[in-house]
Amino acid sequence: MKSREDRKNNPFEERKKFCPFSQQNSPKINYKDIRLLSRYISEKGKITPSRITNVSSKKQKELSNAIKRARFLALMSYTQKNS
Amino acid sequence: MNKFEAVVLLSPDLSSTNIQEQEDSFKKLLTNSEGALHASEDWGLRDLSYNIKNNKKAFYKFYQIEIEGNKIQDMKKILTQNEKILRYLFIKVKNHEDLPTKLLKE
Repeated sequence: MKSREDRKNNPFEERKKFCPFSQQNSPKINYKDIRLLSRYISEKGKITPSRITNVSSKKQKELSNAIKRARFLALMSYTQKNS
Repeated sequence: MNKFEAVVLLSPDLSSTNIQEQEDSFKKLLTNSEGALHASEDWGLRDLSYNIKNNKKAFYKFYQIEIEGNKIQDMKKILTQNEKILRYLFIKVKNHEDLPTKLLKE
């Protein structure tokens, strides 16, 4: 049984993962807030997967819908990050 | 009466009087399809992140409206016939957020 102490300084100890949108004062997802949305797209303008950004699946769905709306309105580009 | 947010993109080669005409025609269209304008906002001339009908820039108009759900269909028909409007988008929302929107704050 691994005791609490030696598990702590184990380099592979998983950092506590939390969803940046499900906290108390987390920002609301909105298709007009392009600065917040562009934080969650890659350099090629693709939506980064939630396994990397630790976003919960419900918020990831809202996020992808908002990004697609912003892209339709030409607020964000389809192929690169900051247009 | 459902609440919608409408974003309309107008072609950049419109003069300021044309833009005013477009705005009035949108409001007239809204009133005669029994809709109410809650608030409106002008994001001005922004450059598009990709070319739409080989335009690099567009005038952005943002409206918060209340209208019957099924009345939106004929509004859409009329908006598509108007060739001055590059693109429009209606989004159903639960409640209107207060202006100015995030986009204008930057």
